[in-house]
Amino acid sequence: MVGHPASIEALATEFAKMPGIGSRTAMRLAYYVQSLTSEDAARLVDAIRTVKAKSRQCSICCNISETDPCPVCGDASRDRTTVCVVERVQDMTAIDSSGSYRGLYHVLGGRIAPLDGVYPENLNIDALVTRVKEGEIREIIIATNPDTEGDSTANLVADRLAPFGVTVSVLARGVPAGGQLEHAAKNTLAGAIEGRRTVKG
Amino acid sequence: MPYERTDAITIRYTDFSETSRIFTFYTRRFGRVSALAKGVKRKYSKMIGHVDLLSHSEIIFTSGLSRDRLHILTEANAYETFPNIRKQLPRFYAACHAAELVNNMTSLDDPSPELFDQLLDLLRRRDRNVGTAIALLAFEGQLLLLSGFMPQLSNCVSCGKKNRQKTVAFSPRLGGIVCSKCSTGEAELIHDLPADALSLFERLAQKKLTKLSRVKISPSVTHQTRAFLNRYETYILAKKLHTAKHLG
Ligand SMILES: [Zn+2]
Ligand SMILES: [Zn+2]
Repeated sequence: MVGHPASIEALATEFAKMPGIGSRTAMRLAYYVQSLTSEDAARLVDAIRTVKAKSRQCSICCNISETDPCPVCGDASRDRTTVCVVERVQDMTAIDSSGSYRGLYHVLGGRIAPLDGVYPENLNIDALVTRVKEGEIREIIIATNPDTEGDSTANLVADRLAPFGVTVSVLARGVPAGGQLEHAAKNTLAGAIEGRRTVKG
Repeated sequence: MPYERTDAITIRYTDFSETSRIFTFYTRRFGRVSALAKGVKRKYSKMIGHVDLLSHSEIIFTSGLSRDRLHILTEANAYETFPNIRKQLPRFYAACHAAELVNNMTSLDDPSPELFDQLLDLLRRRDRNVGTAIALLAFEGQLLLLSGFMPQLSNCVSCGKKNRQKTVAFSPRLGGIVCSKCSTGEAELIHDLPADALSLFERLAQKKLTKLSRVKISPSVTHQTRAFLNRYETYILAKKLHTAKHLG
């Protein structure tokens, strides 16, 4: 059997850690990188370095941004009494572009997924509780994905916020069960936000 | 290509591409099966809600001919989605642990309708919140039994002598408790296990306790049995399971 060179193997190992990348795709990407011109390879390395150097987590909402607070938290025209809780930055982008929401956000950084080793302590839930304790927020809209893991996460977040007297609501079921907010149609999302139902408060 | 139809429980999923997902099911007719659901994450796909994690559904797939036996999922209809499991983390954690164990302890295309029914029964119990902690232990016992990993817990695995001590030593390598005589020189022993917790677990596995909701089990016995199972399962699977972390 002909093996792969150690340096290719090492790069493929790094790619295989990425979401949705299996070992075969990782190997294909590693050979692709090898085939790049030195200039293109340098640009790739540079882009990775710049992302790590310039972007950070917003200290208020945990969004990824090059400023702290992020542009969303810094936008004075937004309703500061309403916070929409999402799993990932992509979900926040999807909801914002639906045009029917002008409040603030909180990015959990994922969902409770025991099978992937993701537990509440790995998510930005404490930071959300701290925000709510400060007292300016009146409504929390939980917009996790409508699937087993997203629902479990939503229920935990609602439970954790129950003592603080804020209204907690969840999206209306416009997004089909199991569906991903990120892929939902704009008007579906807008309807889900407008038709949200209160679960506590 | 032939179509196959079976009852299934979703025990794992991974994203395959921007729009597709690979689901792993434990099925009644075929045992563990992996199937690619093409386009399932697209905007108007209705399939994804029918094969949500831990759901019980009817699936239809075409059997793949590739080496890794990845089938193609063509249709799914959910029977039960167990919404109450999502309401409390301990229930969700227990159901995930059962799913991860089944995924790791069964082989592809090696059916056991009995194990399928046990898993379904566990999900239903967790959803209705009956016989909570004990239902998971009972399920694990039956899974160990059906997969040939059930350890010897009342007699010394080496000499066969019946244990009469309050605490015993256990050898993961030999797969059972060992008496003080046989334990000399045996490496990797788990010491000071409470004999009553082990024998309760053995009776659960052998289905000698049928009315699970009526079994009284103290939190400390549950805790000790849990700790023992976590170590034993880590040993036989040669890896730490993700879901062993927060089990009550
Ligand atoms: Zn921010
Ligand atoms: Zn002995």
